[in-house]
Amino acid sequence: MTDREQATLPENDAESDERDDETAEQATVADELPVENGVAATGASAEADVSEPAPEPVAESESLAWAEATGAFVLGVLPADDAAAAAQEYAHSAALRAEVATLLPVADILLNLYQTQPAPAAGTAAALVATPAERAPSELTRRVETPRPQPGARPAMPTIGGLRPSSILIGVFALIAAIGVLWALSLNDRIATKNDEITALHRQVDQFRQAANASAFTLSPTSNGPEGARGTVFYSLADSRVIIDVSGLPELDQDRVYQVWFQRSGSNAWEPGPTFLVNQQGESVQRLPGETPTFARIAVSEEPAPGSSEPSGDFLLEGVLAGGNG
Amino acid sequence: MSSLPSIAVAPGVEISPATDDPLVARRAEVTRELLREGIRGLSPLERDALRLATRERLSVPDAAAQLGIEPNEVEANLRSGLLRLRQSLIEQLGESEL
Repeated sequence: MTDREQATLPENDAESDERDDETAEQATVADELPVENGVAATGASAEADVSEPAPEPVAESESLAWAEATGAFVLGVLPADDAAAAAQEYAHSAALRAEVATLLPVADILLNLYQTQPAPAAGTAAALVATPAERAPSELTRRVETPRPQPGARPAMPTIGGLRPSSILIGVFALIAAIGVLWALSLNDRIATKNDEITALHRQVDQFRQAANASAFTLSPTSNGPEGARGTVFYSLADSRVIIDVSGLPELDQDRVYQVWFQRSGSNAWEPGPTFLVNQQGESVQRLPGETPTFARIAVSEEPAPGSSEPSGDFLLEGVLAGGNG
Repeated sequence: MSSLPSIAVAPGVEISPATDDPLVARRAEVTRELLREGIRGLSPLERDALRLATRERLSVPDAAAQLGIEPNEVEANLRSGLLRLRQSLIEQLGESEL
């Protein structure tokens, strides 16, 4: 670790002898990130000077102030002042930096899916930790400038020896973001691989329809079900895979899901199955447990999310399975 | 595959592919499938907070005002929601792969 790093990391402050075990552990974790330290040193070289006073260690209560805000931070929805303060705190905590790095790829994927703006990749994440003046005018800037109400829930962040969120922070978070991007790219590759399975799932419906060794069970709408709704359970004898293909079900309000129910022969009890949602066309294809054909009846109801242990709503679709024939 | 339909990933949450690139659209489609499974496991408040933050692009104070809760509650739900989505992806893709 360089002198510059020692001068800018609180774990290496002159008072480090007094740090507790947890802080020591964080410093150890930080030391185990050689690439990160390298980038931090590079970033620091632009502005931070070893002659600058080292930041004061963040008090325990204050160090927790932004721990819950990592999600909002990586999504870029913290107000500008809060984002800068959070960035300072994260720079002082290996654990929080690790969590930010953990959440970045997920936030990146979510934001990319919505296509409302570029994902918080390396450059954007660096912008997140920059001061408002350093931010490039962007959609990201616009949406985080709303002043935050001050209900008194947040302790004020300390002044850290006059040290502003400098390029060392940008370097640290640029690296975190870079790790996130690499993770995301790796994830995309795995997603592409996973796609084979997902695509096969959809294709299997057609394959099942044509397979000589496949059985199909029909679900029909009940008196409470939407007219035109239907469902088909396909069971492949070859590999014991079971799929339900439903259509004609309306999209649900928030906090509602469709749920599959099974009933055994000779029993009046309904056992809970998986939940699902439908697309805009009212369609869904879901896997069902391999034992599905052993049940006598199957039904679909609308339930409060994330699902129920017993039916609370009317059945919309019902059908007879193989277990009901023997 | 040049025109993919919007897909509901959660009640009230739909995603419309913004590209005609087959590869990009294909990956987005798979990602939506994975996320849809993950979003199902979130609490209503986590879903609302993530929807406002990612789809509506509201800041934390604005999202808090819309949901009628404190900003720190929004932050807590964004964090827990992302962590649970990540866990869901890990479970579907395999932890060893991550």
